[in-house]
Amino acid sequence: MEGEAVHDRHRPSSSRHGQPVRRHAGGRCRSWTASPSTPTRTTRASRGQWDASEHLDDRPRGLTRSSSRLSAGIPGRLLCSRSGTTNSASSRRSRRRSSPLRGTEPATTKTCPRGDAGRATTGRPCSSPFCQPNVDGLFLFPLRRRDRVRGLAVGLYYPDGAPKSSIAAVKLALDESRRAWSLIADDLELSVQAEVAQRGPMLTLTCDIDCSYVAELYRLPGRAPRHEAWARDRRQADGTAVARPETEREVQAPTVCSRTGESGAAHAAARAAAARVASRSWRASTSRTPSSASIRRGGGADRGAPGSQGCLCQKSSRTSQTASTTSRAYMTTGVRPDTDFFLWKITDRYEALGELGAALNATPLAGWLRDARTRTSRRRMASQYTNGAAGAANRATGLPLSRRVPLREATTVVRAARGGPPPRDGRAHHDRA
Amino acid sequence: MKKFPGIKNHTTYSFGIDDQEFMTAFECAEPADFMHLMLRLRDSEASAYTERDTPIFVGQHVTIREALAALDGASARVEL
Repeated sequence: MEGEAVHDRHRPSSSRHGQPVRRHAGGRCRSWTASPSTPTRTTRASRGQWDASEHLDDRPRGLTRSSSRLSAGIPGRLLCSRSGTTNSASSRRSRRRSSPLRGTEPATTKTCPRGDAGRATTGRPCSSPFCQPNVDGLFLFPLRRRDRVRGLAVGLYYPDGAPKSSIAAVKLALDESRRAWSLIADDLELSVQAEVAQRGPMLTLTCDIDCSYVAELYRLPGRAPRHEAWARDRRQADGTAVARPETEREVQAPTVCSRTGESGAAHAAARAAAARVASRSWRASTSRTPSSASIRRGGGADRGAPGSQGCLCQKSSRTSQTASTTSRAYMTTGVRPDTDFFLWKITDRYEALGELGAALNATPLAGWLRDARTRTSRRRMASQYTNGAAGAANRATGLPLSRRVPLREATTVVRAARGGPPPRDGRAHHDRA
Repeated sequence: MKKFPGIKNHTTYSFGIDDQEFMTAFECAEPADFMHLMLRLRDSEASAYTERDTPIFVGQHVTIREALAALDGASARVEL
């Protein structure tokens, strides 16, 4: 490659992957990389980080000092060449940046085509290290005072609160995931959380899930005009047979209006709408599934199913129950690095397990998941491992197991993915090697 | 289990339908209680016949909304 080479004291004595190391000529140093003593595989997460490091162009002195200290302490330091940048301004920057550096940089054995490199420079700036076999890893610079480095941020916002350019794509992905989840998994649907805001005569209804909004205004006999608005999922609205949720009828108009306690028509209407939104009947249309608070008990009569009255952790808002199905969500984020959450599905229907898996696969979230583990088990009348009479009587006597004990429980464990679609937001936690 | 009233046990069996013999699921409000229970069960006779007791998944019971929020990081902004 042409252009100015960025060099340092790094002179690798061995080749990588058995290939001879040639001089990597040219390119611009944008990303601060180093070759650690132990080769580290570069991950996409690193690339996501380096997306943010674009802003290191204007890094303050603090970072420069940190980099200098790091470079002084690591003999194998190597500045990554960001190939394909040949404009003069970039050359000047590169020359200025490389001034404290000495030595030569070994060449690559896997040359990036100029066109790809150019695109990589603008679109995926951290792809370039993969074209350099002499780069074994990326060193990141965690800072205790992030505000000292403007532009270096993790997350969707910069330290000054300004949103990153990728925030739109991130929001879209999240909305899609949540909406699809709400649609497909009946017993794990996300209820729509709506808010009504009033500015003068204008009522604004917003929902946290991508929904279709329906608003009605009518006058009850002898009462103030009443706004009604509800949210439902877009796919339901797109269908031909969009019915009003049955739960909508459960809220009596006098109840709603009495909560307002206002005489002004417009204000009362707004309060009525707000009260309506706050009621539990504000759910997506998919919530019309018949639900019941009771759980059919399995073989062990003394054992209540999770979520039943005997459960310590029973919270109705956290447990989705139907007549024959219970689904519970558990979060393992920060507890187990290989999993992020798991679902516990308790059902009498074996098909429900497949339906849950299909629902997961149908969500946009499925593209971000990998290695879904399932643990299937069923409840018995009594344990065969016990010495009691009940356990002894329950030992196999020739009857098929399915005739003896109905299917009761199954657990689906879902592991968050490494792999899947490339991150579109450049966030650091997208570790997708 | 009577000594640990704060822990609810759900033991189910998997022989023939999955890779393990049985599964145990515990619910408790305080993980420390569960640790004490496991410590007691280590001395039980059945524990000697247990070849493998992993993996163990410890999860916090949340709504699916909270689980998704934690999954995509929407619930928190990382501070360096």
